Formats: sequence, structure tokens, C-alpha cells
Amino acid sequence: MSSNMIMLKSSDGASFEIEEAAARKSKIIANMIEVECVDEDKAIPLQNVTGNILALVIEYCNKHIVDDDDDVATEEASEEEEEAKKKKVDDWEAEFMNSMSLETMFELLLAANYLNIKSLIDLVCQTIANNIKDKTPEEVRKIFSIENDFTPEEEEEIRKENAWAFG
Amino acid sequence: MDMLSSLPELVLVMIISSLSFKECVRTSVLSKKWRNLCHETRNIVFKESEYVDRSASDKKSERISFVDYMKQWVNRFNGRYIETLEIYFSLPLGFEADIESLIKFAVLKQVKNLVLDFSNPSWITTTNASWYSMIVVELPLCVYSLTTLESLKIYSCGFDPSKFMKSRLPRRLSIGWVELTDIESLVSNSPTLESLSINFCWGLGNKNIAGDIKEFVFENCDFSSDKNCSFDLPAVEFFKYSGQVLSFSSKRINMVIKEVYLDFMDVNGYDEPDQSTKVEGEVLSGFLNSLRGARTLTVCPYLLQAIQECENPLYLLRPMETQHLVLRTKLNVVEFKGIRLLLNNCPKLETLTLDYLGRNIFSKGLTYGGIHRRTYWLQKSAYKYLPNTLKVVVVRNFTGGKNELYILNFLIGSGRGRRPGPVLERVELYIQNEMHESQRMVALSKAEMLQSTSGDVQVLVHNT
Repeated sequence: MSSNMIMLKSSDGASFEIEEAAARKSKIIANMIEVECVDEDKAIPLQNVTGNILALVIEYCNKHIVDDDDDVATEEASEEEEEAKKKKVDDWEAEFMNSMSLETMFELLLAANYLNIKSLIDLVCQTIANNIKDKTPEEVRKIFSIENDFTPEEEEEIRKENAWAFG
Repeated sequence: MDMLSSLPELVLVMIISSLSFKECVRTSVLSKKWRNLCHETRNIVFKESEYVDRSASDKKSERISFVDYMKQWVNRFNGRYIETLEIYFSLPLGFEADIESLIKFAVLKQVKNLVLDFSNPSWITTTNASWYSMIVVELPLCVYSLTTLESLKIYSCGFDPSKFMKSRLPRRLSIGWVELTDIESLVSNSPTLESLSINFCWGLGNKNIAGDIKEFVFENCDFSSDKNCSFDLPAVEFFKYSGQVLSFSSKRINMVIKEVYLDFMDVNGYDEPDQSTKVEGEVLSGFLNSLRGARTLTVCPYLLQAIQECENPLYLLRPMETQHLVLRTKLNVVEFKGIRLLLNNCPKLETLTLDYLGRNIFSKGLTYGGIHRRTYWLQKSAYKYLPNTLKVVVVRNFTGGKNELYILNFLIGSGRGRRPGPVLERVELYIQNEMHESQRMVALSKAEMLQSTSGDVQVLVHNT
């Protein structure tokens, strides 16, 4: 695999250098590379992603290129090594998500969606979903500051309609 | 509006699709914005048991209401496609057309994972279902040709294996609670099929399981008509068999299998060996030999009792590749020889799990086949064959009973340097919280006793 470097430019003008293999995690960027829209000397402008979020995206991509390379060699690796490796990535992802606020998480999800990075979308969605599950609607509203704009009657109506889910 | 609710709808749908269906439905009450969002989730699961109150007096009308709910949901769905539709509905007699329209909806929305379970939750064995002998729903034709389908599970749902286009079988296929006369044609020459699971089926005559599948499961099927069963699975990575002992034979079995799980239901075993148990011992020992590529191997009490009876040199147990051995065991004296036999034949063993199933209340046996439960594990020679790669011993449902302690003392002894080479590092005891208080105290005190005498071997106690 070549270790070509690519320049990315955030919406607020910050530039980042990233290995091509890592950048290819983004389907959008991978497509740009395929059709040779990428000028070696020019940075790819990403209008929808700010610098601090792009830094997180790049951190994630860098962490995950290694795994793709290893995929080729997995036949050699023992099951235990594979498991240990997977656990290491899981731990890293948990730590990575744990370190950010909900606000950052939303922005990261938007960026992942814009750049089309499937595994990152899944990771952030699952983390947000984990904040919703096993909680009462009241608790969920509080966590995400969702304003309840139903009248008590309207709310009762929905609960009745889906009584099985609120039992 | 709050930040979460302001996310683009597409992104919100991805989030709610990561929730269980029930959790997803519960979001409809958060605010007006969320009112109808759940109707776009890509994972839809309808479970009668969740919807219909089991103690309800008027089950019939509750079942009608359940069907109405499903239909209404589907009518309101406004997404372009779905990933999963699961329907669990016991014998939907009188609702055939409704069920068919739900399945057609899923096909239209290019479903990837389809679960149609029409079995009755009260069924325990195939006899219950075969006696009832009625298939309410037949798999609609449109499902056979659905190219997006990746996994299909059909329980108590009629289908015709020959209608699947060979090249279009979903990657994962699970069949249950039906009379199944032909699986040979399903497995062989289906390049797309990776995983096949056959659960609680009956009527199977010819059982030549041959193909390139990676996962194979035979669970609690009834093979009373014909006990021959042969396997030719050179690529299998996960193999599970539970049920009767058959005349197993195998051609090619992968030598690198991640996991093998064997469970021959008869947990009470037998009192005295006889000619038929001897034959079964040979069959099982030979079968284990063909599965010796298993990295993780799980066995049951019956196998532990039976394999010691094998005397035929052709089938005697040979060294296995197993690194993790899971013994589901009653730790009865009748299983002791089998346990040692397995330990001696796992030269690469790193972890031994004793999944203690509880004592057999009918068996008070102290001796069996010339061995005594107290002295068997004291024989010094036993260490000679214990794999010196063994690092961890795990005991599930530790109760501190005598037979547990005999074996544990033996294993811990190996860690005390009674033999050369690398030694056992730790023993992990899992004690169940639901145990009666007095029994729990016994288990804890025995665990402490082990700790105080274990020397360099760490003994950890976990409450579960």
C-alpha cells in the first residue's frame, strides 16, 4: 500500500495532512481519488466540517487503517491475537467516544455522514442510542434537553396506542 | 429546538435504527418532532409475547388487535427500505392473508434479514409440533427470489427447498419446527450459503451434510427413522450438534474450527455400561477425533461418560488442537475418566472451563468403573498427562461440593509446581447470587479454603 499523503482543509481554514489509506475510509474522498480530482499539491476543501471535528475524524481514520491492512494477513493470526486486537480497538473506540460531549458527538455524526464513513456513523449512532435505551422518556428528554411539546392528553394517547412498548 | 432533534432526519433514522424496536417505539412520545419518526426505523420486530398479555382472558381479540397493530405500522411506514423484519406469532390461524401482506411489504422494502417464527412457545420437543402437524403459513413465492435477502429464519413456516435458486440462497438460513425431508440439496452446491441452522425438525431421512458452509447447527431434531449422519464440511468454522447420538461419520472436516459444541441431551447418563453404550462410546470418540481441529470445544455429561468406554483402537481419542475446553458437567464420578481422557488429549489447552450443571440427585455414586471419586484425582501419575500449557481454570456455578473440590485441588496442585514446565496461573470461581444463603456461605467458605492453600495459583471469586 502506498503511503501517499493527502491534504484536507476544514471549513474554518485549518489544513490536515493524512495518509491516503486513512483518507480512503471516507467513501467521498476515496471517490475523489479514484476519479483523480485530487491535485497532489492542493488541499481537498471540506466545507461542512470544522477543524476540531476533522481532527477527530482523522484520529479515527488513522486508528482504523491498521486493521484494514491486517485483514489481509488474518489467516496467519491466531484467533486469540485477533480477539485481543478487536478488544483493543473496542476499548479505544469506547475511550474515544467517552471523551467527547454530546454536542461534539452530533457534529462528528454529521461529518461522518457527509464524508460517508460507514463504521464511524455506526459507532456514533450506537453511542447515542446507548444514551437513549433503558431510560424513561422523561430521562431521555433531560439528557438531550428535548422540550416536551405534547399536551398531557396527546402524550397519553400515544402511550395508549403503543401500550405494549410502555408496559 | 434541541441539538439532537435538529439533526437531519436521515441521521435520526440511523440513530433510532440502532435501538431495539421497543426502545424505538418509545421515542415517539419524546416530542412532536419524534411522533412519527419511529415509523421510519429500518429494524421492525413484532412479537406476540410482547404485545399480548399472557394472562389475558380474551386472547383472541388481543391477537386481532396485534395483527391490526402490525398492519397499521406497515401502512404508516414511510421509509424507502428496511433492514430487518421479524414476526413472532404463534400459529396465526385465520390471519394467513395478513401475514402474507406483511411479508410482501418486507420484500417490497428490500429486506435484508427476515425472521418468520410461527412456532408455539409451549412446544418443547419435536413431538409437540409434529403431533400438531400443521403449517399455517407457507413462505410466499416472492421471498425465494428476493436478491437483497441476507439472512432468513423460518420457524413453523412451510417452504419448498427446491424453489430457492441455487445461486440465490441467503447467506444465513435457519429452519425450525417443520418436517424437513431434504437438506442435502440445500447445502450442496449453494455457493452463497454460509450458515445453516436446523432446529427442532423431523422427518429427515438421508443426512449427508456436504458443502462449503462455515457454520452448521443441528439442534434437537428428531432422527428416529434413520440414524445415519455423515458430514463433509471442509470449510466449517462453527459446528454445533445437540440431540440424539447418531451413527456419525465424517469425510472431511476443517482442521481449524473456531468452535465446536456437542450436547447429547441425556443428562442423567446410565448406571452400568452395556453393549449399546459401548458402541455409542466408540461413535462419540471417533466423532471427536474428526472434530479435533476445534479451538474451543464444549462437551456434555453424556459424552464424558461414554467416551471412556471406547476400546476400539480405530476410534480411540487422539490429541486435539483445542485451546479452550468447556466441560458442561455434573462432576459425577461417572464422568471423571472422560474428563481426564479429554485433558490428556488436549496438549495445547490454555483454558479449562467447568460449567457445573449441578449434582445429579439420583446418583449417589462414589465409585464407577473401578475408580473412587476421592482417590481418583490424587493419583500422582495423573499430572504426567495434564497439558502443561494450562493457565486458567474457570468454574461456573461453583458450589463448593466435594467432587468440585477433588478436581480443583488436583488442578491447583499442578500449579504448585508438582510438575515441571509452565504452571497454572489462576482459578476463577463464579458463585451464583441466586443460591440459597446457606449454600452460598458454604461455597464462599470453600472458596476461601482453596485460596488459603493455593500457593502461587491465584484463586479469584466472582459473584454473578
